[in-house]
Amino acid sequence: MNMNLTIQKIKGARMARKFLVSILLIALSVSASTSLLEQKVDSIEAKRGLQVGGDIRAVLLNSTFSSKQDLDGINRMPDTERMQFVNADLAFTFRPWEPVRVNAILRMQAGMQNYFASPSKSISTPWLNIEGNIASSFYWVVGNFRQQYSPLTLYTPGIDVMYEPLVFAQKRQMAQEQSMLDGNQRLLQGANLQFRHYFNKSVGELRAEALAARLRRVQVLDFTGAVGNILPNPDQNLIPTEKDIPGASLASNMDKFLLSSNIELLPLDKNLLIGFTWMYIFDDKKSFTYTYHKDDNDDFQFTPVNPFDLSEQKTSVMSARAGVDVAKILNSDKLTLNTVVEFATDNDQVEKLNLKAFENGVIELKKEDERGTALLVSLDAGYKINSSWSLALQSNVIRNDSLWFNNLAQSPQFFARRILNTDKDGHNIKYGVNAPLYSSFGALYYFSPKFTPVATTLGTDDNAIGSGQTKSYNIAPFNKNSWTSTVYTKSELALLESLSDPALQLALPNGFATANRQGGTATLKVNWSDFAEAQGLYSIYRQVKPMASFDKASYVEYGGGAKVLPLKGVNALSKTPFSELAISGSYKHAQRKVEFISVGNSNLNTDFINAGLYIPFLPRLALSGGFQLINTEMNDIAASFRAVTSPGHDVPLLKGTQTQWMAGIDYGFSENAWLNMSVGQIGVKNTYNTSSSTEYKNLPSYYVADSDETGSYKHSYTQYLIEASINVGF
Amino acid sequence: MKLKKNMHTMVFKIVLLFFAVTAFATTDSLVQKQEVMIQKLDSIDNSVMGLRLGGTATAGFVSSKLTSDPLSPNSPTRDNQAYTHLKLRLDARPSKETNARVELTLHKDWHQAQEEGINPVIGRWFSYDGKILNKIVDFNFGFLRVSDTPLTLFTPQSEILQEPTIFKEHRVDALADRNLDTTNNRLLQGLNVHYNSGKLGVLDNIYAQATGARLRATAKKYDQVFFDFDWSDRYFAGGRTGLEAYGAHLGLNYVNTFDRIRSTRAVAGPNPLAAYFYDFNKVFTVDAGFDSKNLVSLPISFGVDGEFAMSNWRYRADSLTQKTKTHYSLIEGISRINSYEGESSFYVQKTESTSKDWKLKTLLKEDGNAFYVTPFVKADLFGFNLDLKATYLQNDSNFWAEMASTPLYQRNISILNADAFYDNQLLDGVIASFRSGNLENLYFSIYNSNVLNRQNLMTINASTTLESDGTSDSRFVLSRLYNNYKLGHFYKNAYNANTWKRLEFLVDDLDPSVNMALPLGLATPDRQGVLVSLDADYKKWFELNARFSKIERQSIDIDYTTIAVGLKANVDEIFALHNDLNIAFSAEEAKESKSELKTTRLNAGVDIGFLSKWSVLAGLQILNKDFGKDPVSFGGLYPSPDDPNAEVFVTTATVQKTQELFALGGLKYKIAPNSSLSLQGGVLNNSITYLDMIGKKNDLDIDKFIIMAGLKVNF
Repeated sequence: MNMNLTIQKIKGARMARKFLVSILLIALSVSASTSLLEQKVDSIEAKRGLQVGGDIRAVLLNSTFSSKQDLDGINRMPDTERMQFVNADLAFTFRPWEPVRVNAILRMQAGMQNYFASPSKSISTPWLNIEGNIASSFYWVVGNFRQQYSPLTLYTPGIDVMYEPLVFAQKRQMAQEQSMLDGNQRLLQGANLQFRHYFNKSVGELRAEALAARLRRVQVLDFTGAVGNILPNPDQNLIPTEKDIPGASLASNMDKFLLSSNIELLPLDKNLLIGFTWMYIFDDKKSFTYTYHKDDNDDFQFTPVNPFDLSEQKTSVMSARAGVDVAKILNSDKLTLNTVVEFATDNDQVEKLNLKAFENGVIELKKEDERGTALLVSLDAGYKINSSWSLALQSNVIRNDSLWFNNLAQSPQFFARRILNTDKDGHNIKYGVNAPLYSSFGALYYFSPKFTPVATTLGTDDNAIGSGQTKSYNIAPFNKNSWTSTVYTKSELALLESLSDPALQLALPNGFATANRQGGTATLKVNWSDFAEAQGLYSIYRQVKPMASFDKASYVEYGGGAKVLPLKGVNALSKTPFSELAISGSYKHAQRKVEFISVGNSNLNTDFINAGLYIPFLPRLALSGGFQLINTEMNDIAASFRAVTSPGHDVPLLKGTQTQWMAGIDYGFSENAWLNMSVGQIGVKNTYNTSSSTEYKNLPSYYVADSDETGSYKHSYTQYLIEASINVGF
Repeated sequence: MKLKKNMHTMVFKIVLLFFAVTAFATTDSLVQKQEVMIQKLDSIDNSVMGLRLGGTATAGFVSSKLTSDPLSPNSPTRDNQAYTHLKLRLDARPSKETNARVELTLHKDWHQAQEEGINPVIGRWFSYDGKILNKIVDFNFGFLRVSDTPLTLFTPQSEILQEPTIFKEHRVDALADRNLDTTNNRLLQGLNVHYNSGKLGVLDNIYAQATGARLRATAKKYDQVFFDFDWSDRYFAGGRTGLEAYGAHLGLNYVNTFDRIRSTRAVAGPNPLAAYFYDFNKVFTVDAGFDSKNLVSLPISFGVDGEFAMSNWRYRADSLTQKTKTHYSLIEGISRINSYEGESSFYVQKTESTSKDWKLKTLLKEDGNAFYVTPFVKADLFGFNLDLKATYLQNDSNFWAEMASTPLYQRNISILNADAFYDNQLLDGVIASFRSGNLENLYFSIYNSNVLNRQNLMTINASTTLESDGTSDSRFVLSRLYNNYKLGHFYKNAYNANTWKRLEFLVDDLDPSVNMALPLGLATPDRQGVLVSLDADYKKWFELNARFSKIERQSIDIDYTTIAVGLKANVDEIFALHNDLNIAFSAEEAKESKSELKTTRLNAGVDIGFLSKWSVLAGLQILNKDFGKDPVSFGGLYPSPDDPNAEVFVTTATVQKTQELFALGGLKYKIAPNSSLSLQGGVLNNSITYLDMIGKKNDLDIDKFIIMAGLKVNF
C-alpha cells in the first residue's frame, strides 16, 4: 500500500532516474552493474517521444526537346527526358526532450519504373548531427549545422527574382530544399557553440558564438566523373596545361578548416547592435597528400590529389559592425528606420612569382599577404501613412576592394548548371552557362537526382557502354541541381564568376561580398493594404580596380514590379476563393559597360520580365500560371571578351532570348505543401558570331561549320514541359 | 499511451525494489539482484511491441601528426579525421518472444567541398532472435555471437592485465566497428538453436545446442583485388549436448567445418582452374566439470573443468581430369580363309572414348588430440576474494580446431597516417612492417566514407595487382568502375572475425606482442604446459592479478615462459568517495627459449572522477620486443659487385628490437549513461633498433602526436 502511494507521488521518469542514481551511490562496489542499469534506464527514457518529420518531393517531368536547326535529326540522343522520381527525407530526432539530442535525416530516393526489380534506388544520409543545450543560454551542435553571421562574414548569397510567379517559385524552393539550403544560412559540418544571455533592458542581450568546421577533406576524386568537377577536364594530363584550369576539379590536396567566433551585444532592449567577428580559414599543409592517377597513356603517375590547384589557403577575416533601430528607440509604430554598418578586412596569404629572382633568371614563388577590405551600409526606412498605405525603402551601399576575399561569404548557392535534356549535349553540360542547350530557366527551376543517364552512343552491348562514357558523367546516377552548399576555393570562385549567368548574376555574383565593387542598391516599396504592392529597384555599381587593359566596369540595374489582388475589395467575392486572385509582374534591366582601352566599349545588356497569374476557384485549388522572358545582348567586344575568359564559350554569343511559360492547377495545403500539375514551354533563340571560331563547344552538335558561310549562326530550340509535382513537409 | 505509462510504472517499481534490496543486501547478492533488474529492464524495453529505434551517435575529430627521419619531404605528415557516425538499431517485435533486429550505420565525414552524392546507409546487423516454447529454447537467426567450449567454438581474446580505462574504451570501440566484442563468442551468420530443460528430477539441466553458419561464400570474387580470392563455399555445423547435476556437468561437443564441393564446381565455368582445394575439419570433444559452489554454498569453493578433443583434418584437391574409357564390343564379320564364300565369325573390337570428370584427391590428412584440465579454488573470506586456477594442457601438433583458434587481432596494418610515404629505399621493408605497431592496432580504427573511383575500387582485367602497364587492363571492366556517383564506406581496423583454414595459419604472420605462447588460445596446436592464474581483491580496495605459464612445443625444442602481474588500488572504495579514483599498474613478460624472442608490456593507468560528471583518464603503455637471436632481416636484389649483369640479395636492415610507447590522457564529461564528451591527447612512439648494411646499430623513430575530441550519445 505504501509502495503504491509512493509510486503515485513520483511524477516523471526524470525524477525516477535521479532517485535511482542516488540509490546507486550506496552500491559503489557494484559499479559495473550500476553503469549498465543506468544505461538501460537512460535508453528507455530516451525513447520517450521519438520525433519523426521530413519532406517528400515527388516530381514527374517530361521535357521534350526540338530544334529547327536539327530537322535532319543529326543529334540522335533522346528528344524527351523523363525525370520521374520520389525523394523522401525522413528526419528523426532521438531523445527529443532531453538536453542532448540526435538528429538524422535518411534520404530515400526512387526513380519511377517497374521494369527492373529496383523500385527503391538508394537510402543516403544528407544530415547527421548531435545537438544540445545547457540551461537556456547555451546551445551547441556537432555534425551538420546551418549558421549565418552577416553578409560579409558567414553567409550564402542567393538569387532574387522580383515578383516571381508562384508556379516557378515553388520549383525553386524544391530545388533549394533538395540541397538542404535554408535562406542565406551557410551549411557546415563541425562544431558550433552559441551563447545567448539577456541581461536587462539597458545592457540588452549578449550573443557569443564560436565554430570550427572542416570545409574540405583530402579525398581522391575521379577526374572523369560527375562528382567534384566543375568542368569536364578535357585532358587528364597530370602536368597542368592551359586547358586544366585551377579550380576545375574540386578535389583537395589538404584538409581545409574554418575557425570562427562572433560576439554581438544588443543593448537598449536589442535596439542597438555592436558586433565583432573573427574568422580563420586555412589549409593544413601537413596533410598535403599524393595519390596515383592515370594519365593519358593509361599509366599510373604519383601526383598530388589535385595536381591542377596546389595553392594553400591562409585567410583571416575580421569584421566589426554596428547598428541602430531608431524607430524602435523612438517607440514609433509607424516609422521604420534602422541601419547597420559593417566593415570587414581580410588577410590572405598568396603565392606570387618572385620578380626579383625572375630578373636573375630564377623562377620561384614567394608568399605574400594580400589585404582586402569591404564595407556594407544597410538602411531600411519606411513609413506607415495610415492603415492602408505604407512606404518602405531598403538600401545597401558597398565598397569592396579588389583584394577582398572571404570564401565563406562569397560562395554562391546558385551555380548555373544544365538540367533539362542533358543527354542532348553530352559532356558539354559541364560548361554550364556556356553549354549549347543552356537556359537560365532550366538552371534556376529544375532539378533531378537522375538515375539513368544515357550513354553518348545508344546501344545495349558492352562496347556501346564502354565507348559511350562522357567526360562529365558516367553511366550511373548523378544529381543535377544548380543549388549547392559548397564552400569554394579562391580559384574555384574565379572560375565560377566566369561561368556565372549574366541574366541572373551580373552585378553581384557573390552577393554583397562580391569583390571589386562599389555602389549601391535601393528598393522602394509601396503597399496598399492587402490589395496591391509595387516596388522599384535601382542599383549602380562600379569596379574599384579595373582589369588589365580595361577601364573600370560599371553595372546598372533598374526595374520595377507590382502584385495586385484586384478582387480583394469586392464585397460580393470576399468570402469566395476568388478574392485571392493575384496578378503580378516585374521588369528588370541589367547592364555592364566596360571600356576595352584603345579598342572600344564592351556592353552587355539583359532584361528579365516576369508575369504571374493566380486564380483560386475552390478552397485550396487554383489555376496558376507564369511567364518569363530574358533578353541578353552583347556587342562584339563583350561577346569576344567572354569567348576568351569563359571556359566553353568558344563562339561569341551576340544575342539570346529565352522565354518560359507554364500554367496548371495548384492544390496548396500550406506554405510548404502543395500539389501542382502544369504544362509549359521553354524557348531559346541565340545568335552567335561564328566568323572567327575554330572550336564550337557552346554550339549544338548539329551545327556544321563547313556549311556556315555567313559567319553568323542562329540557334533556336524549345523544351515542351509536362510536370506534376508534390511537395509535402511534415 | 497506456503501454508507455505501464512501462514507466514498471520502471519505478523496479527502482523501489532496488532500494529495498540495497538496504540489506551483501555485495554479491546485490550484483545478482542488479542482474535480475537489468533483465527486467530489458524485458520492459523488449515488451514494447512494434518497432523501436535506438542506437549510438558519435562525432569526433582525430588528428595524428607524424614525425620520422626517413619521411619524404613531400609526404603528408598529418592525418585528420572529422566525422559524425550513427549506429541506428531497429527492433521489430512481432511477438513477446521474438525480436527482429536491424542495425544500420550512417556516416558523414565533415566537409563542404563538393556535392556529396549518394552517401549510403550501411546495414551492419540483421538478426531474428527469440526465446520460445516457454523460454526453454533460444534461437538466433542471421548474425549471431555464440561460443561452445575452448576447443570447439570459441574466440581467443588478448588479455591485458589492468588495462587503463582510457585504452580499453578505444579497444572496445575499435572492436565494435567490426561488430566484435571482448567476449569469447564467435561472430557468425547462420542459425543457432539452444535448448535448456531446466530442473528435471535429480538433474539440474539438460542442454542441447545446434549451430550452423556459412563462413565463406563463393561470390563474384574474380575481379576484386581488395578481398580474398578464396573459392570456398565454406560452412560450419556444430552441436553439443550435456547434462548438469550435483554441481557437475558432462557434455559432448562436435563441430564440422567443410567446403561444399558442388557449389565450387558449379561456378568453375567451362575453363576451370587446374585444381580447387578443399579443407575439412572436424572436432569431437568431451567436456566435464565440477563446481562445489553448485552443490553447497560455502565461503570456499573448488572445482575442476576439463575437455578432451579429437580432431580430424583433410586437405583435398579437386580437378577436372580427362578420363579415357575403353569399350570392347563383339563384331560379326566374314572370314574367307577357309572358303571362298566365307564364314560368319565374331571378333572383339576395342574402342576408346574420353570424357572430363571431376576427381577428388586427398593431399594431406592429419588427426590429433588435445586436452586440458583446470582445477580451481575460489574463496570469499574476511573481505578477501580469491580466484585461483591452474591449467594443464597437452595438444598434439596435428590437432586443429578452426572454429576455436583464430584470434580477432592477428597482425599490424597501417591505421594512422597511412598516406605517409618514406624516402629511404634501404629501409623499405622495415617501414612496411613497422610503420605502425601493436599499440596503434589495438587501440585505433578509422572509418571513412569516400567517393568510389578507380583509385580505391580497382578492377583490372584478370590481374590481381595494380598494373603499371595500362594496356593490359580491360577497358570495359574499368569503365564499369567509373561509378563515382556515390560514396563507399571504408575502414582501417586491425580486428576481424574471419577464421583460418589450417594452411592459412602462418605463425610468422602473427604479431608476437599478443599471446606469444598460445596465439590460438587453448586450441593452439603443438603445445604442452601449465598456466596458472590468480585474481584476488580485498574488499575491492586492492586488486591483484597474476599469470604464469610455461608452455612447450612438442615437435621442436622451444618453450615459452610468460609472467604477468597486475595491481590496482581503488582509492574511491577505500575512502568511500562518490567519484572514481583508482590507479592501476601491470607488467607482463613473455619469452621464447630458442630465439630468445622477448616481449615486455608495462601498463599504468589512473582514473580520477570529480564533480560527479567529470573525470580525468590517463594511461601509459610500453611494449618492448627483443627479437633476440633471430632478428628480422630485410633486403632486396641489388647489382652484384662481381658481375654487373647479375643481381644478388643484399640484407639492408636487420631489426633487433622495437619499443612502442603510448601515452594518452584526457578529460571526460558524462552527459548521460554511456553518453560523454571527451578531449584527449597523447603520443604514440615506435622506436625500431636495427643493424644497417655494414652492421652499424641505428634507431628508426616513428612518432605520432595525437589529439582527439569525441562526443558520444546513447539513445
